[in-house]
Amino acid sequence: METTSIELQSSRDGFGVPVINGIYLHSIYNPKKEAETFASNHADAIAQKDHILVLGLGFGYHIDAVANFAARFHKNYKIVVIEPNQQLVDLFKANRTFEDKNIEIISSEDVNGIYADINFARLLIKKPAIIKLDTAFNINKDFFTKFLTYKASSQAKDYKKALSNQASNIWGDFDGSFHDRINEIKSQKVVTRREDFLLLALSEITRKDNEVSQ
Amino acid sequence: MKKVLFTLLRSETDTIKAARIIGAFRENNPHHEVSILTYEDIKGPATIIKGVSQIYSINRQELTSILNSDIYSDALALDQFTESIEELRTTEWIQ
Repeated sequence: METTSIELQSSRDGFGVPVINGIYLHSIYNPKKEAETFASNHADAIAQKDHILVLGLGFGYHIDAVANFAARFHKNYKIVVIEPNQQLVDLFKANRTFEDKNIEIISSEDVNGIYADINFARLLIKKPAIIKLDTAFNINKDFFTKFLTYKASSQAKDYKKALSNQASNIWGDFDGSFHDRINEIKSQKVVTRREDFLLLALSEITRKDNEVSQ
Repeated sequence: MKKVLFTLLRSETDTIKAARIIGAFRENNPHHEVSILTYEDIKGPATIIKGVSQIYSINRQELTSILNSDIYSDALALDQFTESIEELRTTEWIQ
């Protein structure tokens, strides 16, 4: 949904509540109490996982509450918030801040870009708990649906430009998938390109039986 | 100073066994600089071998997770792998 209007209203107990296209992101009566209920509804997931992905920033009350729960269960934890609406992030930053330094906001509408970040990949590899703020999710349903069903292209022609210079030198001029590249190298009678040995090494060390199990 | 790279890519047990070999090598070649290449998940024993100037490690679990999943671009694995071995590639080792 495109953001046609965004405004900040005050709840009855005096806290800011963003309203996007007429939709209140939090309770207009008591957003902090609502946030505590939100976190307690996800207590099991928070207790089990020390990495948490929250879909939707809102005005952060639910994230503060999740962080409070996480701190009870874990010595070290990390909370990453995905929010595609930059206007909302700007509004949040102008009015509030997260005191908990374990919370990070990723603000982007570019799903490809989010998944292309190695730090985000590292978070996902840890299989985080995923928690969504329903109001924010519904406002940005197209984005979050794309985000949750994302698949990266396996074809090098789609990601070659994103490779570092060194990786590009090793990869060479090939547009197909990694799998096809390895098969092509293996089909050669003699491997003459020095860098191809590195690709074979990468293939060997990333056999599925090495995968992290958590 | 000549540089020597020991590749310890099998298991922690092999790394422990290699400690004696590396020790003996260091004794016979005091002017050689010894480095080790290992995997991140088994590098523990390598860190306590005396006289090793550098330990290079590859995070095979992370690379495996990235390369075997539909949601990550293979570019991430290629970049991370390349970054792990870049210094190794540009260093002149005794052959």
